[in-house]
Amino acid sequence: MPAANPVDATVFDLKIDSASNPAAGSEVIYTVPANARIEVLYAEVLYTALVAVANRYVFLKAERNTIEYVQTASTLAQVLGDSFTYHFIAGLPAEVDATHSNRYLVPLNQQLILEPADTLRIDAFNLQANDTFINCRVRFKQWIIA
Amino acid sequence: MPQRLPRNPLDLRIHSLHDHVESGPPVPVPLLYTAPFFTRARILSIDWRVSLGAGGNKYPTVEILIDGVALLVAYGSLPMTAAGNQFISCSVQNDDTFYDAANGLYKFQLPPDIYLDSQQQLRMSVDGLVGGDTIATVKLITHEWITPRV
Repeated sequence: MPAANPVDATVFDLKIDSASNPAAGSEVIYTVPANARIEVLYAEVLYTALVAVANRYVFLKAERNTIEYVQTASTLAQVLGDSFTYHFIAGLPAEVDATHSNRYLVPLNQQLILEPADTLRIDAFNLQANDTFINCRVRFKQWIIA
Repeated sequence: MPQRLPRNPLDLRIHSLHDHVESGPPVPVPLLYTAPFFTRARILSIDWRVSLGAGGNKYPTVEILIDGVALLVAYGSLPMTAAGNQFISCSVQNDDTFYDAANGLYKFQLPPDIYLDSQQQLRMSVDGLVGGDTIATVKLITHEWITPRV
């Protein structure tokens, strides 16, 4: 049984953590620690599309025991040769600047709360074998549960 | 494995609403705000001024810096096209990005949960900043909690 209801609790640590860089063509997976509940505030990742296929859409989802329970996807169609940093931010609308700084802001669900051992995954529709995700970082509130 | 905080922050009180005014550094260095020792601060609004030598393809950014790691938390998606002074106002209100080039007013939205713990930093900058540009006065409105001395 959880020790406290995180929606109500004001007791939390602020943490930043990194996910391991996956192999080319694979999604990023961040796993919630065994004794923690987290609320994701921001996540970011650098995605490079290397193969000649159009229209990749990067998305973030949460999973528990292979069941997906939330997803947010970019509306930017990333194409061959692009390298974009995706910033998933709770509470902001989508913003894109494709020509200058290669950033893309993707709205993240507010109060996205993950339980111990849940996973946060960043992937892309039409992900190709040589595409890469690197430098994934997650900023979150954290509650320790017994 | 995560560890519990040494004290329960429920003991802490919201004790102040501060204005922080920082002076602009030499160009074109971004501005940094460092949260005081033994506090947790939640950012409510940021007002700042940018003076651009030339306009075009310059976008205001707000990042948090934690142990040298930067995370973008807000971004103005409209390019500042005019030279001269720009007044930039960011808050947690649900503002669409707005830019009036003729009058130098720029607004964009902050996410509601920007927290800085003791000595963590907020960086106000502009993508595309070059020599001749300056970032001047920054006023931050924050809620702050006193945190345990560990």
